[in-house]
Amino acid sequence: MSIDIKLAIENRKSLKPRAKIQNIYCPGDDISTDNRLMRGHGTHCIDGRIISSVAGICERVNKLVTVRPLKTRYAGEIGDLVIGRILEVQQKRWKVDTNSRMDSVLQLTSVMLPSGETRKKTVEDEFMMRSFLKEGDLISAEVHNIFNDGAISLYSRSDKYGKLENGTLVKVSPTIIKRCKSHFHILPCNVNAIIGLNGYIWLSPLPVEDGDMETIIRDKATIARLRNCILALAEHCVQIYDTSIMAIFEASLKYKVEVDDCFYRKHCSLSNQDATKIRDKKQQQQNPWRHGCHSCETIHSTLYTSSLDYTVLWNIAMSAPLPGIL
Amino acid sequence: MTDILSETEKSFIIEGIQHNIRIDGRDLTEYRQLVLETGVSPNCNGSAHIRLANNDVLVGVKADLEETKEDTPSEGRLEFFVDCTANAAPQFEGRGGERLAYQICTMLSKAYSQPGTMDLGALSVMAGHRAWTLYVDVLILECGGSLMDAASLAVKAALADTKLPEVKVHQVENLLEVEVAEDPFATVSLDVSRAPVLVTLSRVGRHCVVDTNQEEEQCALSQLVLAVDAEGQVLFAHSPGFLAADNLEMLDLGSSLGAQLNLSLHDSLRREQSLLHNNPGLKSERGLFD
Repeated sequence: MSIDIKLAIENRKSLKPRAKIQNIYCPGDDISTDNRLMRGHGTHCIDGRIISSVAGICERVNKLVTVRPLKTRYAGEIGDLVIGRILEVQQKRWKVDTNSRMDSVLQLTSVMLPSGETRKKTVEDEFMMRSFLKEGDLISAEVHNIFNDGAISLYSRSDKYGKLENGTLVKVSPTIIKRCKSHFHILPCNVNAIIGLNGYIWLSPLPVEDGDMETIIRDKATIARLRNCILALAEHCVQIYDTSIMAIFEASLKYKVEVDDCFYRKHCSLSNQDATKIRDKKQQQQNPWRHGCHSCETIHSTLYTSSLDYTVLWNIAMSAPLPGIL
Repeated sequence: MTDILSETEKSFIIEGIQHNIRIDGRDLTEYRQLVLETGVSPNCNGSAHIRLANNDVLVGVKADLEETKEDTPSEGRLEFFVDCTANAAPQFEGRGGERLAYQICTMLSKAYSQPGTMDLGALSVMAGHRAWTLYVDVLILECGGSLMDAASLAVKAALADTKLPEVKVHQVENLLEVEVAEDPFATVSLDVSRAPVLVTLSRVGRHCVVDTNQEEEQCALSQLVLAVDAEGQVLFAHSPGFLAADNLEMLDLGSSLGAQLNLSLHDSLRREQSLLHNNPGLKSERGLFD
């Protein structure tokens, strides 16, 4: 058991900007002075100039210019699968934290009773609310509706959804969750993963009948490794979905080191090398529309902590495929 | 600070700890990643910024020439002040963080008031008249479990970084005259080799866990905070909860971990010094948050 105290200045040496960053904006950066463009989310207009109001990646759809922030709260969309935590039991409804700007609402009428019934809820059910779901409980649910103020109303009246038990929650930024056909996955490493579009990811071992000690321990180690892998992806702003999780998980198996907190940093240096290769390839292929970038230092100090690599930023900016799954 | 865990999440964590697998894959006695930087604030005599996983603590030490106390005429003083910013947690807004700040502050001042931890005599400028008072300001920017450990490491690093100007005080006809050395680089450093660090041990189930993250902290039955010096000597112990039966075992673990922490800190501080000495350019690029 040795304790390693790293020095910030040691990290900094390797942080000389390697690539010119394209397409990434800090708050206050000029995006365009072209007055034919329309300003979208994440931008504002001063004297006819379109200026970024968040730190993120600029996207253009025809005339519409938006800046997608790298770190943000979840803005709900109807039909999304989300994972939430019960904050409060109220009359006929629960208040749920779903990583959005406002607390979400789960109506008593939009849950399924523990017995699986979908009957009309009675007054007795209202009294029993805390026995169904109490403060701190985690649920998976669907976004049912979005109110005018942005608050989300949830819906979990299906046997797919409901209370989550025996597992662990990983929180990442909702921007890096990839929208997929299904968000319920049984990963090949015997782990059940529910990837909520709000950036909450639930990992739990597959239920086993009379599982022996060895399986339990192995599953726990796998979940710990997966958790660190997901955080590694999040730290490097790589999109998260089942394939990317499994790719990084398999890459991590090479390391004999038992999963530990520093582990994912070691792993990331590997994916960065891959990312550099991809970037070089991309660079030859295309010339991005935006040239002449502001000082990398500004972005660096505003946006990222020391461990983030520019190559990865480039990756997002170019929406390059993931390392490992090429 | 973090949300309340559900019962099943807690049991998942506790069960894992029984098998020596924590949710982040660490061993029970393993610390998370620590990143240290000293000399971050030019306005202070000494400063340090430490990150322990997502704990973020900034410490500044300011020195002031003050009149000595009557009971300790040839000693300086150390004053601690801890501020939990609302950036760390929304609950800290207004007076919300005061309780935690007070706890950390008491622990730090208790740890440093143990005899032999700091040579307070070295702070004396003119016995019976003037001595340095070091105001140690601890700013909690982000917290993520085991805050005390991070704060104490940062305090020690900041004290190691502290440079006091060379001054002389003369007495001219009942008036004290302070004379500062002409060379601005003529400074005195403090000896922190015996300064303690705090080690928090948590009891989860039947096991003893160090450096708990916020989730694990919620599962802990009790906590034991130890002030340990570089030789592994436990200067004092404080348990906010009830004292567990096999405390001796915990003390042993705490003392060896504390000694380790102290040694690694000394080592890192030396490494930083030599790095900066060999490559002074590093200093000019320094900024607090990159």
